[in-house]
Amino acid sequence: MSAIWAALALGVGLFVLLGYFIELGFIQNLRLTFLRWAVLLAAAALVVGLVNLLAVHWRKVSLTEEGWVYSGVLILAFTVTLVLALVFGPDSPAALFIFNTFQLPLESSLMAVLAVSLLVAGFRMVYRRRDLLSLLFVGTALMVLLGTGPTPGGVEGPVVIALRDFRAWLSQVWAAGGARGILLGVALGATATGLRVLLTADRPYGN
Amino acid sequence: MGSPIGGSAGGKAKPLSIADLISGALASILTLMVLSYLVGDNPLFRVAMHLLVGAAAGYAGAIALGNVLRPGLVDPIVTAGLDGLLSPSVLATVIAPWILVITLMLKVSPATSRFGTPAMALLVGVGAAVVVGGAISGTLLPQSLASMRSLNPAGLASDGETLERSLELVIVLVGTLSTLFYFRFSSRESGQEIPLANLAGLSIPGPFSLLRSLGSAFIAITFGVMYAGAVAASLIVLAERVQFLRDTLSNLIGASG
Amino acid sequence: MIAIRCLNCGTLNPGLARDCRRCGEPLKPMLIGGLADDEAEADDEAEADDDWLERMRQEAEYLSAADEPAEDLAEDQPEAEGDLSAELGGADELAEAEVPDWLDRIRETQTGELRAKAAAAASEPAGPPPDQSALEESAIRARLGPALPTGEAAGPPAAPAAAAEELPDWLQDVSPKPEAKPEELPRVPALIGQAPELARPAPADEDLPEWLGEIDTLKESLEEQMRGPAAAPGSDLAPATLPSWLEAMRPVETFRSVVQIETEEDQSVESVGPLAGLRGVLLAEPVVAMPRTSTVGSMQLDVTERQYAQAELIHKMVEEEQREVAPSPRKGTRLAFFRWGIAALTLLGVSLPIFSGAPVFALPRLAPQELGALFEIVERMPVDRPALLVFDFEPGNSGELDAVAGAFFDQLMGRGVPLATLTTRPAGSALAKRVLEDRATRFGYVPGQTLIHLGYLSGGPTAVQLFAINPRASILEGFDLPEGMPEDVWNAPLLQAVQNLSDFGSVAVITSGTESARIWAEQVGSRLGQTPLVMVLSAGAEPLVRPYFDVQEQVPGDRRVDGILSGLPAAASYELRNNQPGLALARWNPFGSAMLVAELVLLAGAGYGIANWWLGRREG
Repeated sequence: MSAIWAALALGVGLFVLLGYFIELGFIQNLRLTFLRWAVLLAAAALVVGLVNLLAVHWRKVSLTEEGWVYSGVLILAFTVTLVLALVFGPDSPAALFIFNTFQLPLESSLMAVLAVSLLVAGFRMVYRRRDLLSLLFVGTALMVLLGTGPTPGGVEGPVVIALRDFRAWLSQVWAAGGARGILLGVALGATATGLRVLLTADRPYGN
Repeated sequence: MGSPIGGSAGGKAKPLSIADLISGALASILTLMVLSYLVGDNPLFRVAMHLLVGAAAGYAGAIALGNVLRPGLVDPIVTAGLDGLLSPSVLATVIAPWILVITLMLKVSPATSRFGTPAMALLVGVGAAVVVGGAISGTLLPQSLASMRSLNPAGLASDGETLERSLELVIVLVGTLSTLFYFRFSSRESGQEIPLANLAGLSIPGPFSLLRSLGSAFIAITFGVMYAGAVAASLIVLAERVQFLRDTLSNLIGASG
Repeated sequence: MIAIRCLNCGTLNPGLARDCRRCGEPLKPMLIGGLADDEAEADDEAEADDDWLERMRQEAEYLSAADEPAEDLAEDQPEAEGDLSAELGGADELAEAEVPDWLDRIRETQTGELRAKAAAAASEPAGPPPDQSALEESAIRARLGPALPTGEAAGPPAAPAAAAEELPDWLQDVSPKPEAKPEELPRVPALIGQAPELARPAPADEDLPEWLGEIDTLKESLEEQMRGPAAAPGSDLAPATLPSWLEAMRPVETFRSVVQIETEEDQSVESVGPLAGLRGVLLAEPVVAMPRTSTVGSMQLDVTERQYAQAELIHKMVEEEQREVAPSPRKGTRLAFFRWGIAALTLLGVSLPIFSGAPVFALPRLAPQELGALFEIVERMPVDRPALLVFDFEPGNSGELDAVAGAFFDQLMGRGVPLATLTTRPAGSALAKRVLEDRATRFGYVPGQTLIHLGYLSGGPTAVQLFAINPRASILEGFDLPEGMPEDVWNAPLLQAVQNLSDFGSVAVITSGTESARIWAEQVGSRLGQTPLVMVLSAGAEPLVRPYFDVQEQVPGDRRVDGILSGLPAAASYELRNNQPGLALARWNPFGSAMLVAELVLLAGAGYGIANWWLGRREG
């Protein structure tokens, strides 16, 4: 049976991949069909994930494991939001109230806390890893911050302008070279991994 | 209903309703609950996190069910009616996805999980093909061509490039190649290569070690720039949160007054 | 008589037969029971013994009646006959009753040979033992003549049989005199075994010689001879002493088959494989699969002290690994003073400008190079085709991206470009509504007419590719559609002319992550046609998206990203250029103050690390 599923993945993937390079009508139509199925399946997979999340926390509450109160809060928030959004619509005032009051401020605040965490990690970087690369990393970050941040005072002086130019040179020349190499490496890795899946060397979908 | 940031946005602030005030107050409390993590992990922070996960998951589920699955699977059946269910187009666009979605839903239970394999195989196959196609046509080819053509003398001459620009292009090219080299050969032990020469007690590394070191230096610079950008972005968000707290406070004071 | 087993089918054939009586193949006879282990031939041997005994009885009578040397012959004959009994157990077709002349001749020849060998052995105390198989071969040949076929167990080429018609002169010279007594013959120590202790044959009389009744004893003694030097019990012969090099050459029997070969009739016929139809095929399973221990005695390990100590060390290391580590005592709660300090500094830096209005930071004088290009792109956008805005960021990044993209939205909406929003995040549509709602009111946009939310695309890169190929097939339901709008969002007046991605006036992706930007650049780049692609990014995402922007410089015609806007300074410059202060300028002072704190923290951290390292080096 595993060979059948592997053949399915291979066949479907082949048509989708060919569609990038070949403009034949039936290939494009088949590709479109498979992509539509995949979009629907992705939404279904999201729902499956949410059901699993609910099941895990429900189990914690029913067995009164450690932290079950928090799980109860999660289940309550999930249920209220889902019901309101399904009944009245995700664009309804009720659903948007929950979004603007709970989800948006909570996520923004998390991001704000991240600022302090990043600064703490930056402070400890050179102390914990005393090598040239750490110094280079922190030094680059410092120069970019100096070249990005505003300067106190009324007008930007020549020093500030020089810092801005240096910052632009760092990010648009030196970092651009490294970024291009990283992008190429990521693309190569993604290609290799995708081909391994298409050629059934890897079967993440199981047997 | 927007973010109650009052007059700090540059436009005229609209009058706030009770719902806006309540929303603002609740949001401020939740913001403080999360910021309390700066002191240390505490139950308030955990409650806030579980609230976030629950609300976000519920909203995402509603979007997926209401905006994707229902119009994609249910509405076509209602539109086509029972008679139209057997038409080839409905079979391909509705019935087949229905079967796949149902089998995928069976993955919820470990006992029936294996029936979801064909749906997962299709999803994975399509996803892999999209990633491969996009990587090849969208990144590998254009970026490689750009790297090759960056040193084209004709291009430089036509733009009136100066020596400075040429040097910059060389730096970009060296950075690209050395970074790729680092990824390719970083798994090898650094001590494998024999040094090129020994001068006054200093061992000059061989070309491979040199390229690897150069690649790691470029990566350190790139990540340093990205780190600085992440710090700047998060500081802007922190500023926005503090501004929000100030505005809510002033709105509440104004409303109570 | 030798019985010959056919190599092809395993059938026993008479010794004189040239071809197998069953399969017709030429015979290469095997010496049956060559080492006297063949118990399966016991019956045949018993029969052969009976005939053979009868013959020997007759010979004995003949010899006793013939002459005195019969006594000597009687001594030697048991050995010869013992050899013959071991080798010829299956013979059953020899003529009986009468002793033919040739038998006499053979006996005489044999006697002579034995005497010659005995003499030779006496003169050469150390030397290789006489080849037992050669002796047997010669004995057999002497009896049966040249017609004897070559056997498998034949050893080195046997000495040519001397089937002499009459004793040669030298044999006559050495033929025993009547008066010679057996005990006067030189007793040569056997090199390969003890001569069996034999009972001396009785003087010729009508009773059977005693040695005839000790055939079994002879057999055993011959077996002992074949095995090696071993003193037969009770023998008065001195045990043979083998030289060391000879001892080393002796084959050591390490494997003794436990398989007992059945008689031919009891043997099963093989039914599978290339040996199908044959009998006596060795069964693989009982032999191969049967576990057996080596007959070689176990070796004594010679362990040195050092090895013993090392083994003990390894044993202790393994024991330590297996031992459960006791939980370390929980240290007292450490207060995170360090983190509190940095958090307090950061909050102070951010809050000071917000609550007190100071410090004030200088506005950006220089705009980034790419800002000009973006400004021109927006200025050139058609107002009769909608611009697609993709909100691909999480609500947590809205604090930054609202400010960064604000000026871009202001310029777009200030020109009256119709807008359609899209997202690949579940919360993206709500974000889009939140960001554009106030501006829509400000710039007079009518939902459904000049502003429409297409909604959520599920599936990541797959959904983006589907939208790029066929936008109408990918979006089925919009978001926050005004009442009175057609159910199918694509029937809205704003989108009626849009069939493909290139029908949009422009595509702008607002995102905080490099992954999302890369996906859009990869998947839609080839489907845009002349439609420009703009990226509005968080500051941290810019380095990995800029290569897509730089591509068009090096590869004209291969467009990926036409415009890029990243970071608060660029957004502040944009607002200044638009002459429309927005969120970017509103957050400029707190941003500047917070950045100062960040620079000080990083500088202090680097200095602390370097100082620590330097002091550590000094201390040594």
